[in-house]
Amino acid sequence: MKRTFIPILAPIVQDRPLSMAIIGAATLLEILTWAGLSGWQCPILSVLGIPCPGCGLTRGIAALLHGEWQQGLTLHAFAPFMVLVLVLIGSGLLHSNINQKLVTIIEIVERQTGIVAVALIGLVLYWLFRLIFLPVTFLHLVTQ
Amino acid sequence: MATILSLLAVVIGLGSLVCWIMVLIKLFKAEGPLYGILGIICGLYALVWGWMNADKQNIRQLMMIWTALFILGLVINFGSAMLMASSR
Repeated sequence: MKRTFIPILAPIVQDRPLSMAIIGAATLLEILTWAGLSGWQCPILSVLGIPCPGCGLTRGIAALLHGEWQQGLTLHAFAPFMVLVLVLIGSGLLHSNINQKLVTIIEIVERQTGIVAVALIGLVLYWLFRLIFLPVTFLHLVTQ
Repeated sequence: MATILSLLAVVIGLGSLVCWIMVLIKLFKAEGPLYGILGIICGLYALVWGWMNADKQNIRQLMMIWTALFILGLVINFGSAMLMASSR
């Protein structure tokens, strides 16, 4: 029997109110970042002084959207992946027919490859690597 | 003034951290470990999910406190930026 993975992104894209809220909040955050303000104050970083796995992602995405690829990838290697995820969530808001087709495609890809689950685990491993082997650089990058 | 703002930022951060962890516990229980990890990586997802399931999970009050702290954090951040700009 062929092994399949549980879809993670497809149910989010299918849930239009949830998608709309995520895209709205993400857009607001990116606008604040572009304006030079940090929209999301990471509670882990501000209280414990340790960057969380998502620290640097918002500014990484903002840098990518500005065309600054090197800066974006330096801030967070998973920034391009998150841009793709946000584009997929945003595309699902276009029309219910497009949404349904998109959900079906994402679900098939996710069930066969488990790509989102693998990326999430990869992101945690990437965070641990930066935290253990490059702590000073990591902290400097996310607090600059 | 800068010290007061920094102190306030830490207090708000602590409050946000507690709210975040409480929502994450609900998220892990309701949606499973992978969505829980998503909530850790992307705090925004946890915030949105919390509001979408506030009544179902009985966390409306918690979400209101977290959102208020989030907005307060934004205001303090904006105030700090203005303060830094004016002192230059």
